[in-house]
Amino acid sequence: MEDTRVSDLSFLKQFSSGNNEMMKKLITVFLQTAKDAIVKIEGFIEEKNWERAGSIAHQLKPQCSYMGIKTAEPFIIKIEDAKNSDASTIPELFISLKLIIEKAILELNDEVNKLG
Amino acid sequence: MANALKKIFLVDDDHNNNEMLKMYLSSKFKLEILSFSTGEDCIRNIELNPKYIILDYNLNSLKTEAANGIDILKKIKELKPEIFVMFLSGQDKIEVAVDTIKYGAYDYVVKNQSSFLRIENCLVNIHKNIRLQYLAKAYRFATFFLAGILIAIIIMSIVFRILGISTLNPGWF
Repeated sequence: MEDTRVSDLSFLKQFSSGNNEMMKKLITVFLQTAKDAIVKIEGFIEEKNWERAGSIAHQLKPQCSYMGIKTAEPFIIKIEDAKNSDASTIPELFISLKLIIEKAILELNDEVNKLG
Repeated sequence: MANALKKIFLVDDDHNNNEMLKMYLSSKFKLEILSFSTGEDCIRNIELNPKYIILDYNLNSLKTEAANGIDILKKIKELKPEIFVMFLSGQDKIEVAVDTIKYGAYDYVVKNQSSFLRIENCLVNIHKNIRLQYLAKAYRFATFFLAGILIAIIIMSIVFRILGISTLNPGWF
């Protein structure tokens, strides 16, 4: 079974100039932010508060870019756009986004462990 | 208070982004960096006279009633029009970017992997522009000064001619 990575830390390595402590700190903050964001979006979707769900997803976009989670971006953009047009698609879009983020969280947890 | 560091305000409700930008800027420039999570906090501290402000557009993820970046930009320009305001936002809608420039933002940068470098370039360009403006002012002053001397010489030579004094041999010797 082919297991493709969803995250790519090339940018972060360049950004932190090989400073492992800085990388670890940035990844750890992302992990917390991403977990919180997923819980919040789920809550807002349950409440059908599409505006807030979109707003939290929007905040994840640059963080995903820094962690090289490129596949998440199209879903975030669709969620942002759907809040003003077809909000009924948001729960389905969120499921796909959540799968990507959860996979990225596993990968990045491994990276944090490797960094010591 | 000689050599006081220039201040830069980072205004973003995304703490992680503020931290990354702070790390990046402090590795490139000597600046006093202050971070705020809402535009209202930034306005409350505007009397600290920052030279630059980097502002996000969506600022309401922590406080739903928080004003957006354009409203904060308008307020900054009303209070301190000399501050250079740059936008750093995840919002990639062209209308938003155009509006920020219309209301006086220096530049609009979309958050992605190249945004830190683009902000660095903005700050370098602002510094270059300020230097060029200063040089242009000095050049204008020098031109006026030299023109003044030239006019004075012409007037004096006319006066001397009227008085019958030769400027080549004034006959004073």
